[in-house]
Amino acid sequence: MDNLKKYNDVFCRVLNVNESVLNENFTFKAVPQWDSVAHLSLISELEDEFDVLFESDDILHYGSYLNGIEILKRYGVEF
Amino acid sequence: MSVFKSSGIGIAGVACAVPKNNVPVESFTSVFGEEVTSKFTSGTGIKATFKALPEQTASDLAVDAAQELFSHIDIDKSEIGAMFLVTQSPDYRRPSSASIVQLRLGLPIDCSCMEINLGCSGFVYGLQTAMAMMSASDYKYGLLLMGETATKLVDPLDKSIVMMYGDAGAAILLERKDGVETTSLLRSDGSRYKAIVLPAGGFRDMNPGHERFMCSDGIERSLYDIFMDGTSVFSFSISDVPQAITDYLRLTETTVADYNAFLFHQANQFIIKQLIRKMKLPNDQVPLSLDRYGNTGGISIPLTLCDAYGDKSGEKLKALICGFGIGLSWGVANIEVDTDKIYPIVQTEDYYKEGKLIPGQY
Repeated sequence: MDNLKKYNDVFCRVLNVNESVLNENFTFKAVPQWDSVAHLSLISELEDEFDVLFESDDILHYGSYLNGIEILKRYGVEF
Repeated sequence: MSVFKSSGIGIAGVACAVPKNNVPVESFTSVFGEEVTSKFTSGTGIKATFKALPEQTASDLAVDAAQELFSHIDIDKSEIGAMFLVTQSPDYRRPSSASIVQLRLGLPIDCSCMEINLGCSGFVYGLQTAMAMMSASDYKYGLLLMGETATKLVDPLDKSIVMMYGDAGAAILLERKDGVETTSLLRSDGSRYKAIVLPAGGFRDMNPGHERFMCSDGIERSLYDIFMDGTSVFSFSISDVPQAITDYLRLTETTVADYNAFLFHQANQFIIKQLIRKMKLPNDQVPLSLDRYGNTGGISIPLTLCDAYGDKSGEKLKALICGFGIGLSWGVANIEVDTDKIYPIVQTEDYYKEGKLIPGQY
């Protein structure tokens, strides 16, 4: 499975959404179910899926679907 | 840096009590739906909590923990020179619940009693305070008690925290013991006091209305309900807390290998997992209790001790402890305790009936 598919699957599973809504508008502020508890699950599952350990700043600023891809790239995950 | 050292004072026993009323997270499914409750459990690790009965107070839970402790350790109570009760849920506005607890436990007039108003950092702060008082005197025993009933302060419709808090009490007996050295690192940041706050009922705003309003997290509350800024508290937990532990290890010139247990405030499993990974801690040396007891505030550290080691004997724990939360307030310390002196958690329905004062009868 390619990394984008894995990445999307985590978002769909944790936030219970269809892949079709994952775009530049999918942000912490805009998505009601992406609350602080869901954020913990999301970060935790992404860390497990990609075997990375996010720095505190990255966890705190992981505010959107697209920004998350850029953060993961810095940890060596290729998209 | 607020660093404190104590010598020659050890832990003679640890006991904890929780209410008999077990509340599974699943029981909230009828209120919030299955998706919310299952995501709450996967995000926090909490599957159930224990909730105090309406009549049960924090001091009741502290007293029951103390009575459990004294059922295992036979001491002359006249040799307890100081008792500290850590709680943010007092029986009355005045006097402090420490006075009521002194009465109920039969502690002597020569025992100094006081309350410490702290939450999740309360065990670390309370332990250091008790040890400092003992260091300044010659009495034989000190008693650190803790009690909390935060479940009573939560809006039942607040899905962010109503499933998170659990109620509990703890009792820790301190004694003089040669060779025990304790170092505590304590920090506070009042600039973040609004991160966890319950405004009503204090003397800034004693009797405001009960109208509900929208909070910054999109959840409606009244001024009588606990508010937690999840993002701010989360930021604190994954930034300031690991920094304090790192500073502590540097300050004490110790490493992870110098400890055989790491007892963290049971806020949520993600934060603990982050600490494990960042500090490269052995998983099997970081016990968890929050899955069955929830977030019990400052009691979560002694509660985790009793949960993990209450039925073990013959082990000598050299533990690093870290409490962090409301204030904001946080602290790191080391403790040494034999598992023979850590007792299993008891459940209780008891409460102090005489404590309900009747108009015209006092």
